[in-house]
Amino acid sequence: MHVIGNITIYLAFFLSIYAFIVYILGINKQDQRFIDSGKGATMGIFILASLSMVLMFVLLGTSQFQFEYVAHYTSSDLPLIYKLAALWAGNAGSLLLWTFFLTMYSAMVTFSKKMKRNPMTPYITSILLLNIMFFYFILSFVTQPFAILENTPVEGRGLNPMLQDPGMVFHPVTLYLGYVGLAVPFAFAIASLIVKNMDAFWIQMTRRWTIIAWAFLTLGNVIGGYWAYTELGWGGYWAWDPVENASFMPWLTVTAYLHSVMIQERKNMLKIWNLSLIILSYALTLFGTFLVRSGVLTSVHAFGETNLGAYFLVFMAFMVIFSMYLLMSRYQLIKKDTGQFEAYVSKESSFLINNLILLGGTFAVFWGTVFPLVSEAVRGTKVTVGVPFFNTVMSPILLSLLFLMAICPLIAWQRASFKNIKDKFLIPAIISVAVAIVIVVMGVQDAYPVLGFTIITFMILTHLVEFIRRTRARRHVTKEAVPVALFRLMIRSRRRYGGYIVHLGIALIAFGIVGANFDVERMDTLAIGETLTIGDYTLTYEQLGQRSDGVNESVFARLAIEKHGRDLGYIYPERVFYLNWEEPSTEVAVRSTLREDLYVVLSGWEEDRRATFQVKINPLVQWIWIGSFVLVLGAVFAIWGGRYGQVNPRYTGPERNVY
Amino acid sequence: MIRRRWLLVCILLFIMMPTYNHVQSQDIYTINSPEVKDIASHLAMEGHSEHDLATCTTMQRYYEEIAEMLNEGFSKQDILADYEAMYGEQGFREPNKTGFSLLAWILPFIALGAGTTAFIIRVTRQVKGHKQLTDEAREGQEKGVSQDSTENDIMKALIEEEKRHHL
Repeated sequence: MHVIGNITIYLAFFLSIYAFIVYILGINKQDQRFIDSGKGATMGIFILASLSMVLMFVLLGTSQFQFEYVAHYTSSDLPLIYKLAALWAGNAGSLLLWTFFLTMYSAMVTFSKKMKRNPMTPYITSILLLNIMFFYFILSFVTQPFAILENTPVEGRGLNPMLQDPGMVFHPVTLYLGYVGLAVPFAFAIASLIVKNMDAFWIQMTRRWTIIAWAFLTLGNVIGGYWAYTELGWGGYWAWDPVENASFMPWLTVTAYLHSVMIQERKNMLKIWNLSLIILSYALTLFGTFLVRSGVLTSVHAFGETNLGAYFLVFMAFMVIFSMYLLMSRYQLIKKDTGQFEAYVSKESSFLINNLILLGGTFAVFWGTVFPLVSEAVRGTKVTVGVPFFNTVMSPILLSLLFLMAICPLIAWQRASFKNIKDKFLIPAIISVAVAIVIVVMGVQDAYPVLGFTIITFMILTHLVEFIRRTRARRHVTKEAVPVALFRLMIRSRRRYGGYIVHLGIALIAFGIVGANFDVERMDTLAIGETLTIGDYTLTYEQLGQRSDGVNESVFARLAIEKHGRDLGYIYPERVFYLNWEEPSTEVAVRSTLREDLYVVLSGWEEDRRATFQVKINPLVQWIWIGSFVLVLGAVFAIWGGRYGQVNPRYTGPERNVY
Repeated sequence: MIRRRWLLVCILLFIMMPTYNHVQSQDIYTINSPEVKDIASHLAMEGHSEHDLATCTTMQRYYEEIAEMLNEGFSKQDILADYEAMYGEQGFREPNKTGFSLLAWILPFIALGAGTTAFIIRVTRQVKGHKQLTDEAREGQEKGVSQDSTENDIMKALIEEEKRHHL
């Protein structure tokens, strides 16, 4: 197994070098035989990567502790699902997963029907192969997934209890699918620069890829947030941790990119901007990987201090310099025939402001993340940049972003008239101001929550008004029933309405986030029969018990919940003692409603059965998860077939023979 | 006279009542007090600030310490100054708003400001350029119209001449 595993890695590494070389030869000599050989090799690499994955799953699933990775991250008592999910618990395994996705995407692009007979394919695959070569170099010589131990241990070290959660199964996979997915539009962008064909071809071809990557990035972040929320010590659902920031930054830049590409498609503008955005997004994925692997910043997500970060830093520097060189060398060519702004107030300018704020947000997150390192380098003092900093700096930025999201979609192309603005925004603005007044009258005095709820209301209303206005216009012409008109309207313009649904999802998420301003918490030690009151809830501590859960032991408490004198049942917070882990793991008990979450933690207990509880009321948290679902639904709606999806743009660059 | 005195005493009591309540409430700070949470939210707590209060004993110690200090009559500023004297800037979860650390706070907004300026310059230049182009095009169009009308007149005259000649 050890030999076969290593063969799959080394062979794939050499095959990736071979494929890259034959592609370059094929392109230079314009010889189809080389290209075909490269294509075959690309498929071969994917098959080898799949084999490595299957092999690794088998080793993990059957507890082959002679393998260093298996011994390090699993134990024989671990449920099968977590044995398998341990593949991405450590450096070597997670990089293997990353490489697998990269080879999968590369094979999909190379053998895609849309790319058939497309002369840009060899260039695109070559760029992807550069990435594959780097990852296989790491797997072959730096961190080997199939390394074996000199002495086989009887038992493995087991998996960190915090990783024994359904979040572990989905969070890394979705996040990697997002990260790696960005390599595809990057490869298209670089290929378009190499062949000097910077029209909207690469953008149209990569629209779906980018939305898919963006949707996975979103999902990855949200699942990570949910995981953090239910696993204690990770600071709620978002803690502005360096590694969380690392996945948030490309999300922001890709969001900016998805908006600005519309301007290039429609108005042939912002070509350099779009190329720069996709290069930046790709570079940020590598930067994120560098942060996780290097251990330069303290983070709950980090894989510990290794020398891997240095390799990623060098590779990132190489790719960025290479991309920037290409971009600069094509600068004059790209500038030619570029569209121009015709008015100050237009959809184009509003989208560019949206981009500006998204980029500003990215910079703020980046700067806050690296400031401890900058401070240490300049002054020798490693300061902490935590939640208070990010909340202060990011709140105005994200609120202005929400405001722009409310108005951008409804501003006319080219030139917006005053009448146009008044028609679309007057009623939502009046209602939103009324909502703000009601909120203030209800006793909310802080500026940010009032502003937040007002802007969110305005955003939801402007979007609903747009749905109503267009449905009415369609009904006027077709005389269809309202649901039919709405359905057909949306189905015929999936991209636009998918975008609107995404916006509504973000509004709901923002609603949940603003709710965090009203959270309350308390910590009390209670004897059996004593009660604790928080907000409208009264909790009575009734029982402290113990139970076995497989090889693990759990200590749990039973608390009866009452709200306004009404019996709401019981809640069971617990602490789980794992066989292979010193520290017990905390399993929180959550009672969720759309209004608020009652969040109870069993902190500790005494011999006389007195127990300490931390109880929180987290208002509106459920809206974050609902909003995320709506958001992903919108993304799927936008990429699902339809009029735009069926358009298969043609390559219009110089004549080339190989494809 | 007595009535007046009573009235004065009542007014004084009424004025002092909130102060009395305030002092009373200040005496019972616990780890659950929002004031304690507010002060704690600024502290790095030896790297434990991102942990959960329920399970982190270091964090709990800090909360208790803050509650104790508040109960002894220290203000928020006093307590934060005390921690700063002990740990310096590294004792906090956010950089100082002075000296080099000020850069952490202002640079994102400087970058945004620079971006906005660049955006305004770019849009202004392009809008002006577009307006100029549109004006030139209109002028050209007008010239074209007058040229066209002259040619039309000539054409019409020729047709009329031909008609007269042949019909």
